[in-house]
Amino acid sequence: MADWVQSRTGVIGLINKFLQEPVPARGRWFYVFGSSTLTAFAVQVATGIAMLFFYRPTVGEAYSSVLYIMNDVPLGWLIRSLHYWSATAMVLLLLLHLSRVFFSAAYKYPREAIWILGVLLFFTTSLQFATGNFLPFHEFGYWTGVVGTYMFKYVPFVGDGLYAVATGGDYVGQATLARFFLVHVLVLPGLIALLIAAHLFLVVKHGILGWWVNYRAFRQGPPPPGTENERFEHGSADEDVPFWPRQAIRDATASFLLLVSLFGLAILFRAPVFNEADPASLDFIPRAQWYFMPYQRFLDFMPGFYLTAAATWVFVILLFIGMLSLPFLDKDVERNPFRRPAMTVLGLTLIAMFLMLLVIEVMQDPAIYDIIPPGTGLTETP
Amino acid sequence: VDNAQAERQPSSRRISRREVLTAALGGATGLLVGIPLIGALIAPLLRPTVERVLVEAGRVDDLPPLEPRAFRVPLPVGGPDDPPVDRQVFAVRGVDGNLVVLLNECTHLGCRVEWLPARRLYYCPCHRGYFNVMGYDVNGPPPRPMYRLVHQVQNGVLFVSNEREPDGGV
Repeated sequence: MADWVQSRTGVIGLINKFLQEPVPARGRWFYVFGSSTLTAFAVQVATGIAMLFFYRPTVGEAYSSVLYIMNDVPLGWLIRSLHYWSATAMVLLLLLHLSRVFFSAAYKYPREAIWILGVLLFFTTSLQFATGNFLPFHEFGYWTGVVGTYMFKYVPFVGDGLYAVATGGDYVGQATLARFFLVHVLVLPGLIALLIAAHLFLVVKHGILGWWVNYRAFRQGPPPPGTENERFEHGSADEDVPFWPRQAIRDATASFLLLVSLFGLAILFRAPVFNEADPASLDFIPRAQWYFMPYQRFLDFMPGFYLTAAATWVFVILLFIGMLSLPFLDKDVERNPFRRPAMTVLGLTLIAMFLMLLVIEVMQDPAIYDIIPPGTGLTETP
Repeated sequence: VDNAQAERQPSSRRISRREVLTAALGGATGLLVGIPLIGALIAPLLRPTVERVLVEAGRVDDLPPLEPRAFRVPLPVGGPDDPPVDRQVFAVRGVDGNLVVLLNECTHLGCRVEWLPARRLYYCPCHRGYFNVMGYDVNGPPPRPMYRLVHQVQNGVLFVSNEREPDGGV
């Protein structure tokens, strides 16, 4: 039976090759962030499909169908709360995985393509985080959709056209919900799955690059010119162990703990439902999702405060180009974080900035920003 | 030099007619697949503009100058079949007595604004933009005044349309 499957598909040999994949012998718990991100994505897909049985993407029914999932569908509250918490877990684990790869300089030759696919996964996942919030059509998600699409208007020359394509009309409404729904449940998940497959294929091809102490060749510096040193060239660790069973059980442990945490969070803190979106109501003060708060606060601190909406694009594009070109700008073979202080300090600075800006934005005192309690202004005349 | 060797050296080889034809057919097939997709994506740009509708808002005959009055009106936003969206509008009479209808939409990033009677300003809580009573941007990031909507007054009752005045009315 196994012979037949192997002869007709070759899949058993492929699995064996994957299980025997050499993994650096040290630093192994640092390698679980990637597989945990994948597990979080699997939870997203499973709970997302489960919600699609009940969710209705129309402005009239979206919110009530979400209430139906939360209140009436058996375990519906658990499904949606798991989706909510594993979305947060996925972006956090992705950031941890990104940090690990950055500090161990794993993006360098010959792994540039793995890094590029990872950067694309970072941006597509961020877009998933943004578009998913809009689908329940609650007041919080509605206003993030309004602000997110309005940013397109600031793109030079084609801004109004992009805004019409993003919203499907003159303002956020039914056409916008249809477009966000399509992107969130079909286009981006498909794209992310393809990117993950290519990312993993190249990880198997090139192997994981581990902690710098595993690399005696690197620690001793580049070989004299003209001498061949394949281990150095390919960044192979001094000591490898097969993926199965030692690393496999670490990945499995991390994923299991992640699932236990997600269930715990989902049971203790259910995904919020807010009130139904009402564009004409003043009862809700629009605010950004936590993931985008640091960036919003960063733009607020920029000197060109009045140009912030236009500047939004500049910094996103700079971040994208900067991340894509990182392995081509930083081609030095050094992998020791202490011997590449510029990159290490850059990484630590970015992490510190993200955390500080997030804390500032979350902790801000509404009074100093002149946020007037809702309802003190002018309400409609009956 | 046999044929197999020539195949391995593409730089020294001339591009054959068959290769050009295959590439052209492949490209054309890709384009044909893309047409419906791109067409749906940019449909909002190709569609004729939504017809102007007038929606009853409420009485404005007793409105004193420079005092905004808020109304909730369902305005069409997308295609002809899409349900209208409730928007808030402010009716304000200028010192000259002319009525303007301001769309409650901060021109920075589209949030709703709130009228602060004590300060006599519209305030946007998203990024702290301010507009004066006639909708002109006075502080913060908004790049332009609030949009003005085409409207009619019949027997003291205001009817608001979904159409913006040319260049937003200012």
